[in-house]
Order: sequence, then C-alpha cells, then structure tokens
Amino acid sequence: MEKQGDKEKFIATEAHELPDNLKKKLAKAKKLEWLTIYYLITVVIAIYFALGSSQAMKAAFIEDLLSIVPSVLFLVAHHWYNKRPPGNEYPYGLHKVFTAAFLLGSFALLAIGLFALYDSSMAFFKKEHPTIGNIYIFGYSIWMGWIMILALLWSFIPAVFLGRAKLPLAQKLHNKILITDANTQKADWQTAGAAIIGIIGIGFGLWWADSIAAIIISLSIVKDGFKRTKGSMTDILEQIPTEIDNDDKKHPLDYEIYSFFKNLDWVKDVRIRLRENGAVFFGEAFIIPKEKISQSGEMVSLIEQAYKDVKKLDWKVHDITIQPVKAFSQEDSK
Amino acid sequence: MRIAKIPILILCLTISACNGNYPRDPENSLEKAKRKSLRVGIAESKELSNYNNGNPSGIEVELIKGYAQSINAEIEWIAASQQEIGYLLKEFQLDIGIGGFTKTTPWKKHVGLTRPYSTEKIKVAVPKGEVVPEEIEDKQVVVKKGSSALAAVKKKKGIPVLVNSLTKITQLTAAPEEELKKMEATISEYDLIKVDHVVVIPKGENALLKSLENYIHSEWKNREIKKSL
Repeated sequence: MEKQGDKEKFIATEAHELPDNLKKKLAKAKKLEWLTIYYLITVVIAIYFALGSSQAMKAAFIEDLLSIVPSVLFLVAHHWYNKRPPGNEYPYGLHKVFTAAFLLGSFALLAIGLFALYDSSMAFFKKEHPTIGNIYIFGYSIWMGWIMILALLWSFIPAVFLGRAKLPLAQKLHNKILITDANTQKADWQTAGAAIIGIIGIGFGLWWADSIAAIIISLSIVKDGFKRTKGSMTDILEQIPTEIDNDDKKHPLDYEIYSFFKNLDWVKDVRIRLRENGAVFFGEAFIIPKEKISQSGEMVSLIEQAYKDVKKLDWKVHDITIQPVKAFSQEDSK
Repeated sequence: MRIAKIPILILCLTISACNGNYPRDPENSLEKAKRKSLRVGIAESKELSNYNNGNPSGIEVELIKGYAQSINAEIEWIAASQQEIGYLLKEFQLDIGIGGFTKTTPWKKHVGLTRPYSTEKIKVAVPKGEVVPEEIEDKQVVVKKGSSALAAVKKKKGIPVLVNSLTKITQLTAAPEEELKKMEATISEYDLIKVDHVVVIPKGENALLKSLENYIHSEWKNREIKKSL
C-alpha cells in the first residue's frame, strides 16, 4: 500500500493520547470486558445443561450467547486501534473502528431481540406447554425447574454488577461500543429475571407465563437494539456529535468549540463542522479574520496557536482544521 | 421494572411454591386421573405392550399398572397407533401413551417424555475366546430381522447378515445386551447404540410427569433389581 514518495505527500493526524485518568479507566474497562467474556462462557455452559423446553430459558440461552459479541468487539476494536497509529495508510487514525464495532454490536443486540420475540410469540400462539422433568440427587427428586432457576440466577446477579460497573466508564470514555455492551448486560439480567418468573409460573400450571415473560423482555431488547443500530448508522453518516446515550441530543462541545473561535480577538466571525470518529471529534473551522489581521503577516502563527488551544477544551477535540475565508459560501446554512 | 423488585418477586413466588402441590398441571391431568380414571393409549410393540382385546400385557403395561396402583387410579385402556396416541395427547384426550416410544421419538415436539424407564444397549459379541473388533465398519454382522440392532449395524456401516432368530453366537453378532448375555459369548464394552425407552404424556403436565417419574425412579427401578436377583 505504501509507495515510495508517500512520505513527502501525506500528513497524518496526531496519535490521540487519552488523559491519564481516562487511561486508567480504559484499562479497567478492558479488564471488565475480559471478565465478561469468561463469565458469559460459564453462563452459556450452565444454561446449556439446564436447558429444557422452556421458551424463556431458550431465549436466555441465545441472548447470553450473542451477548458475548459486544465484549469481543470492544477488545478487537482496541487491538486494531492500538496496532495502527495514524500513518500514510490510515491518515485519520483508526478512530472509526469503534464506530464499526458499535454498528456490529448494536445489530447483534437487535438480532437477539428479534429472535427472542419470534421464538416466544410462536410458542405462545401455538399454545406450547413447556414440559419440565425431574432429576434425582441422592434419592431426592428435584424438579428441573429449580435447577434452571439456579442457572438463570448465575446469568442474573453478576450481570447486574458488570453492567453497572461499565456504564460510568463508557460515559467517561465516550465509547459507544462499551455502552452497548453495558446495555447488553442489562438485557441479560432482564431476560434471566423474566425467565425465572416464567419458570415459577410454569410450576403453578400457568403454561403461558413463560412465553409472555419472554415476549415482554424481547420487545424491550428489540427497542434498545433498534435505537442503537440507528445511532451507529447516524455516526457513520457523520451526524453532528451527540450525547453518548441519547442520539437526539447534540453534544455540548459543539457550542464550546464555536465560542472558543468566536471569542478569539483576531476573529471576526466563524462557522464550524464537526463529526464523531469513534470517541473523538474531528472538524473544520471556517474563520473570517478581522481586516487588520489579514493584512499583517501573523495569521499563520495565530491559526497554529488556535489549533493547539482548541484541543485543550476537551480530550475529545482531536483534530480541527482551520480555514481562513473571506466570506461563508452559504450564509444561511444552519 | 425497578431492579430491586425482581428478586423480591422471585422470592415471594418461590415461597408460595413450597406448599407441596408444585409443580402443577395446566390441564389438571393428574387430578382428573385420580378422580376419574387414567386414560392410557396403548400401541402394539412386541414384548413391551400388547392390547390383547382388552386384556393388555407387556413390560410397559406392567409399569402403568404399577403406577396406577401407586396413585390409586383406575385405568382405561385405549387401543391406538403411535400416531393416534400423539394426536390425542396433543389435545389432552389421553393421560399416558405406551407402545415402544423412545427418547428420540419423532413425536417429541408434540408430547412430553418421561425419563427412560429402561435403557437397552445394543452391543456386539463374538464366540467365547475370540476378540471383539474395535469397530464393525465393513464387517459382516449377524442380526435379527427387523430389530433395532439391524438399524444400529447399518448406522455403524457394518454389513448385516439377517437371521430369523438368535440361538448361538457363531460369528460377529449384534443384539441387545440382555439377549447376548443369555448365550456363550464375549460381549463388547462399547454400545453400538443405546435405546432409551420412555412413556409419553401430554406436553407440560408437570405434576403428572413428576408423579410418574418418581414412580419410575423409585419403585419401578427397584422392582427390576429385585427381579434380576
């Protein structure tokens, strides 16, 4: 890919350095993700062995299996990101690897929900009565339902804590795949909870309790998965940066960046463009300088200074290209 | 739903489940069987179940008779094919079905299965003094016509040599372990296949299932052991 002469041709964006306190958070997030993967493998094995003909149980199994995806995506994305600093091949750096992971992860979440919804609705409309047998341990007969509940509790309790531990990290790191993963854990424990209630319901002779519980949960997963898939698409389409957990709310940094330029004493007027590349923001600032500045020779050094200063606003402000202009081409652009 | 409510809800449900009458039947099969009678569909299956014009016999018939006695229920025998048993169970018009059902029955999507009441192991044997081959692939194997041993031999890629009855082991032979034990032979350690014999019930009738499985686990298995002593 790299040709002779490229060295003289390209200039890559600077490698992005997280502030020290966030580096620690990132290391913690990575540890949590490894922990999640190991944990989910044990859950999948436990549920596999307890799997009966319960609909909600089956939904929980598929759910847990697919919920390994976002954690793996996060780690793979990080691996690639670290492996390829910005260079002649990827001059903008690999920030968007997180956007790609976010798309895949949220789509996995959507798929989990749709599958569980289909499966449990079919069971309900076909009036399938789940048959749950018994096992015999040391001469005691134990209803398999209790064993299933035990396996589901293992899918429930640790997931609550894992999800809750990841959420604040994801917000601080502005990492959408991480937040998707945290929400996957939420879907995990909700599914497990519903399945437990469903199985206890079966025991009371309410055959429909199980599929109804599964339907309700899958609807909430579908809703969440759809919201996130849409969010990842809008990131790819370079929507203006948004809040990490609300795609309809603009990120407050856009205003800060605008006012930073607006308040420089050599700037007459400014317009900006911003986009999210993974966790960081790229953008352009179009500046109309005050007249006496454009006539003097100091503009280049003022622009360079502004480029350095705007990055101090926030670690997420990564690369803002500053372009001096005489007038804005579309005066009415919003 | 607030997260704190879920464990509380689960706890409440669990406590109320502990009154002995758990799990229950959605269609009350067990209760009805005790009050009225146990409706048993019986399909013909060699030594396992025969209707005999209303005078049923066979291992599975003995099992059901023993079970009915243990819960104090009358039995109403209904002669039917496996197909009919499947349909009737699906619509809760039978309580139990017998007649050579196994764990891998194609009906298992539509009916509930009990734990196996017996497991038939199909093994191979050679005359005493000879060595049992590690596998039967491309080897000639003597089997009874129309037996599950024949299917097992085909499945393991052996070449079946059909006979009408087995009396003596003269060369490599496949049959249920019980049958092989009656003859002078060296029997393989491994199984060609295992056939798990089960009783079928309506789907989701978990109280009936529990009571039937308890009988199979304790009394039926003990009876079998006593018989063999």
